[in-house]
Amino acid sequence: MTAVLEVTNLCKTYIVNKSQNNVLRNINLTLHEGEFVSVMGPSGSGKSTLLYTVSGMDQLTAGEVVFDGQSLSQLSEKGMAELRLHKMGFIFQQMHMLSNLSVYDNIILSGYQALSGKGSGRSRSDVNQYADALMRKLNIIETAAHDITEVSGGQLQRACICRALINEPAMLFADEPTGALNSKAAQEVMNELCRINREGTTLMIVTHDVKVAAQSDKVLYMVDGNIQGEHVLGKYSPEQGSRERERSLTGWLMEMGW
Amino acid sequence: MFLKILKKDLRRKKVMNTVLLVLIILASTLVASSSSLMYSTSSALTSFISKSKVADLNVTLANKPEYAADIRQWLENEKKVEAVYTQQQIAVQPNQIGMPEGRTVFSGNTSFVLSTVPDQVNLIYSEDNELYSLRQGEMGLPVSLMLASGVQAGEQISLTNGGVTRNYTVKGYFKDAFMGADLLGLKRIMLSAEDFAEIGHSLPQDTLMILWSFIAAPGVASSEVSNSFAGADLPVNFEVDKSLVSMTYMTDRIISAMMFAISLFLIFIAFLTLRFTIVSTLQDEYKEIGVMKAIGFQNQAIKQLYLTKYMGLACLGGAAGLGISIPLTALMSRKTSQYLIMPGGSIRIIISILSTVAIIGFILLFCLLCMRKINKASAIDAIRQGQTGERFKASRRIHLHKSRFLPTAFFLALSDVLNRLKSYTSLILTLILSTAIILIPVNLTNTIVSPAFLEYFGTVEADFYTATVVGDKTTQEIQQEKADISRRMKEQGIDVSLAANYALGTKYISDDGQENRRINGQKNDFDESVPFLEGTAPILKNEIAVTTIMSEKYGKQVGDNITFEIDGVRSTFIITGLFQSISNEGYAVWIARDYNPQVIGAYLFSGTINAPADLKAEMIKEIQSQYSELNIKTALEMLGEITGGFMSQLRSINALLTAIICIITLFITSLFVRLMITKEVHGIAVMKSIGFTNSAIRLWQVLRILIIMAASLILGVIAANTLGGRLLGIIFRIFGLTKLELTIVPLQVFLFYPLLMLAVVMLAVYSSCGQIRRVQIWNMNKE
Repeated sequence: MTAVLEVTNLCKTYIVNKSQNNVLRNINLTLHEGEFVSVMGPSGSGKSTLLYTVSGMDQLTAGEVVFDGQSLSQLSEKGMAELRLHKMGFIFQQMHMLSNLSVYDNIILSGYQALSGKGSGRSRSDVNQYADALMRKLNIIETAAHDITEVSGGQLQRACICRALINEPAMLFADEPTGALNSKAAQEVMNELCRINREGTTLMIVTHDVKVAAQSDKVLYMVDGNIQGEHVLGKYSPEQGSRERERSLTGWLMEMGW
Repeated sequence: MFLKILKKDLRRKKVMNTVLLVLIILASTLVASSSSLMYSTSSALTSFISKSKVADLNVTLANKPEYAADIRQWLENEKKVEAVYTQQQIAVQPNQIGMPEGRTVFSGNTSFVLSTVPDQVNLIYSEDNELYSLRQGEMGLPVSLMLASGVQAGEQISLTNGGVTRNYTVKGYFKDAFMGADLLGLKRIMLSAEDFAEIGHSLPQDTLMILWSFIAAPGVASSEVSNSFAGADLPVNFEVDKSLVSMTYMTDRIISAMMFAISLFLIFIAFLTLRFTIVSTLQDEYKEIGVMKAIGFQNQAIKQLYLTKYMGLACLGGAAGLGISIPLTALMSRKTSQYLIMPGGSIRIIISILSTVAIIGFILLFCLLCMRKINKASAIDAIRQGQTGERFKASRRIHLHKSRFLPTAFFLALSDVLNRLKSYTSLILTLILSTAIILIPVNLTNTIVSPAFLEYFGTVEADFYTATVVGDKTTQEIQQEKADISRRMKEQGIDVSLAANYALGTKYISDDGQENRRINGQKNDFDESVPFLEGTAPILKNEIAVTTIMSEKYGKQVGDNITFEIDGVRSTFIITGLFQSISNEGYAVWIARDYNPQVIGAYLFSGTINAPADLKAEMIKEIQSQYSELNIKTALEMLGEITGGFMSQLRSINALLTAIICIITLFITSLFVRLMITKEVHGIAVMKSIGFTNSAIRLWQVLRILIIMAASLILGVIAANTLGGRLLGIIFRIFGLTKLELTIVPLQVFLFYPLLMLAVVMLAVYSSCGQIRRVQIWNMNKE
């Protein structure tokens, strides 16, 4: 399988009041095409920072991140923007939508922006149809015309997922994608994420939820900026159910000090 | 803790606070300067007229014993006149005056009289504000002539009278309240009593003129004396009363009023900026304000925090503005002080200080008004950042998914402007006002320099004009002179249609015969002469056209009868048309071509060259060189002479105004864009996170300001051409114009100045968009 993301000796250090805070220490990991990896760990362990750094949203202090064969630190601002627009999707923990636009326009904005590039092969109406389909699947079609201040946190989270998926990215990064959702809504979101993963999209998510992590192929456990261990669960299929996988994961997490 | 918060605010919002301070300094400087200037110009005028003992009525008549006897007889029965003074004068033409080499000859459109230094009324003063005096062999010139010709004290000027040329040494200039104003087309040249007598004796006595100066009895207005004198039926060459003398200084008042208007504009902009900065500061700190209230801070205490900052800025800006205004006022009043005796004392300074204090007071009051929002902020607002999720009307005016072709950057810009129009109010108002304030004086200047403006002075539009000849002549003599010039030109192959323009004295008589007024009459060889607002030009002998001001004053319309006295004969005329005139406060009549008065007071010839337009300029030059004795002028040269220094002052103000407005627009736009970007860091970071490049985000910012700019430019241009026209109309009504047609130069009004404004705004946007590059995606987590 082709490696989509290769991380080598990744370090991230914040300097606050002249004192160093090493948030990530020599991280090495590889994600292959179609793989679904969850990152778990206690608060402050560096999970979100890892996600932001490997997705190019934040700068790294040392090491190298290669995405789809391109070293992120070598890319120009324009190259990085192209990558985010066409090949990456990001679901933020705090949603981060544009307050001036309706829910629907927030979702299609990057879809329309991608059309201005060369050879996209899609039209605005294709983008609209795809957005409609995504919103229906995530049960938020009725919020389309609303302002982002007029919908609940859960609905907004699902809108954020739709936005991340609008350009059918090769890889999706998600920071607590089900954090603001109830269990039913969370399962719907996970079903959608699993479906796109089955269709070939590589997935890397940060979560505290064992049920969510149990649906991934592999779980990484982070403590103090280091990957302490990994637990391979294999490909998940909805038919077989996740109870056994959850039990196995919980046991491993207990061993890791969860 | 307050001090800490204040320090933090000053450190974080350096640009915003600096721009605000600069605006307060500019506004206070201009308000302090212009209010002081308005006071000094106005009080200087009153005190100078009074100090110079300008007579209530001054009239010039030919030196004939019968005229003197008539006046004496009138005075015997007239209790309104307390005293009367006379002074001999000799009229001279510019071609009798020999200038030193390299100096500009005196204008052919100004009339000159030789006189001795007056010692009882209509006094004149030296540049040191002392009573003026001359010794034998010396000549005194009014300041306007010294400036226009460039003649310096000590140079020699020759005068030719009765074939004899005499040389005089120019002494320093004098300030003349009576005839010193730019707008007055008659200037006094002073000689010593001995030199004047020498010239006077060499001329026939009936060519001399006598200036009669009447002083009104206590409690009698100067207009009452002039009304009474008009009833005496004397052939007056020149008449001016005290109120008209004051009126001739109107241009100086207009300039200081314009400066005051500019300062008001600046104050308005400063207030808009203040509102914008306060509102945006409060929005930024909404959360903090809510939290402060939640832990027990009173509204008053929170307001005090912000008020302290703005009071500091207002006091600092006001003090700096006051300091700068002192040398600026001196600079701006330099020209006026050459003409007038400026009042001394500390009142000017006190007025400047009071104006500055008023500005500071207004700023603080305005701050309090803007801070009313603090009363509304509650703890829940703090949590939800002012967003409650409630909506009472559709908030979206346009939708991205409904637009098929709009590029995303343009959509975002348009959506921003339409959905948050209120946020852009300050910028839009600033840009509209800036555009209008630049264009109104541009339109004013273009209107005044347009050859069509000459028509308001009663001069028909033509390619060239000869100098005005003053002196009583008959129509036949003038027609003969015209025929001679036409013949000479024809012989030289110059194809010109020449027309004589006559000025003559008329007297309006009211229907009941009780009221009368001297009014300048004009006639021309052509029927259609000046544009008529209503009706047509008079053709038959019993027809006449009057000005709109006269129509309003005397309640006469087209078709009505009106009585005038011309050449001592009363006749009733039918009004055929209404026109407007800027001379004599708008009082003038146009007489039919076929009406032949016995005596014409003044005349000139206007010529229209029968040749293609591109050849005319060259032909005028040729005519000017071949007929130098006629002192030929183009329309623009005529205008320049009539309007005098006012034009150059107006142009300087235009340039100054354009520069000030461009700087302010640059400041405000830059401040606005920077503030918007600061407020939109989250949105920019989100856009970057979903794949927008820096250039795409910059394009959105630029397009947004461009949309605002385009709309503001359109509104500003419309305002300048419509409301501006009305505003100028009000000013020009004082001079006699009831319907001012603005001359709008499309290249300037619709292209050059809008492009200049656009360039300034684009410069401001591009120089402020650098922040976008510095916004990083992780900034969105910093809320």
